[in-house]
Amino acid sequence: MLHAVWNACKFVGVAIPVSITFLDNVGSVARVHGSSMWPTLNGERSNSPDYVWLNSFATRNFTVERGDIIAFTSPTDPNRVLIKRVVGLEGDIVQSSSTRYSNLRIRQGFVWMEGDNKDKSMDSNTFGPVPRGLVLGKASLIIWPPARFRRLKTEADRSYPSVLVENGFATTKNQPAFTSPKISPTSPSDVPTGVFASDDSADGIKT
Amino acid sequence: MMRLPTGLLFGPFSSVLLSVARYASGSFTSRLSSPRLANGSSKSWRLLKATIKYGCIMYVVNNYIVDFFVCIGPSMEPTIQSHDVVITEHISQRFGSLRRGDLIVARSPINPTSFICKRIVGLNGDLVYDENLHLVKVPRGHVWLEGDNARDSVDSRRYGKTLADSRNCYHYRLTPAL
Repeated sequence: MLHAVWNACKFVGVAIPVSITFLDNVGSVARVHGSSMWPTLNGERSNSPDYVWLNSFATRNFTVERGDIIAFTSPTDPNRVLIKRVVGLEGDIVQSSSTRYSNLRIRQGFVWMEGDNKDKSMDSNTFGPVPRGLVLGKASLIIWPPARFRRLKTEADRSYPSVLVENGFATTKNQPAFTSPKISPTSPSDVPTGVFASDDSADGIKT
Repeated sequence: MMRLPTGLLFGPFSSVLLSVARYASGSFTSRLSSPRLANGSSKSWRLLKATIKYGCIMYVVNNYIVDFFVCIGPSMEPTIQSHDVVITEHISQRFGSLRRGDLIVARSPINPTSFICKRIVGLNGDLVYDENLHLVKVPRGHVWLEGDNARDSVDSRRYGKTLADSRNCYHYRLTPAL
């Protein structure tokens, strides 16, 4: 009897760490709440939410690409996990849909996230650039309900109204008031103070 | 100030050591000499399974319980000298007991794959001075970090408030400079 209990304890003592290691490093399943990523996620306005496969291996060094759908810890509430699309990377100049941030250059170590459904999305337009260290995983598949099973593609080519300057080149829409030549790469010395630059002149743009 | 996690070295090393020790201790019974054991699994397969098992256990221990870091750089002198080995624990942070004055290891906001070791100077709601002597209010979910060596430390005074997410952990000094 005791032998069986001990064997069960040994099994659990191994199964739990192996599962945790798998969930942290390979991937996990997540349920999507809300309509901030409509129509990509939770597209049908039915009662059943989408379940996605979060690929943690793809973001193993906190690497993200433009157009990825990423799950990340909320910068305003560490107990919540949000899922949005990466729209701007380091070095890009963005403008939020509200007037809160205009001509903000994304600093090293941060990304700009937006939901596909702009009206109902609490994203970088609300709380500014998101540190890459909060990234948890990349949503690569919708696995439930079966009718909505599909791969979620990285939409890198899509043009995003918020991004004014991308990789050093102005996007064709939303021409900013200044002419923007190629932006030189971020140097470690060029780190403005404060994440939320309410004063636009604080963000120096190198020409 | 950058940090090297030595837990990564301890993890695989100890897992291999433990699995080899178990293997050598004879718990596989007397059929060690034959390349295939009676139940059909080979020695190397069992060694691999044991390595995976102990590797996962070490991963969980390192990331959720206890971990070792090597601190490099002068930004925490005299509290921590360069090349001190520190032991960190993750448990207090899960219970939410981060306090002003605690030493923490966090992920650098500039480069999330590297670590920084600083002291918590401001918590949610505090007012702190930044590099330009502007008053900053620390918002919810953030901490303000500063190194003890005020003259030589890149910290929150430079890059603003830092997020207190689950990847931060406490640390205590373990050994002086090796």
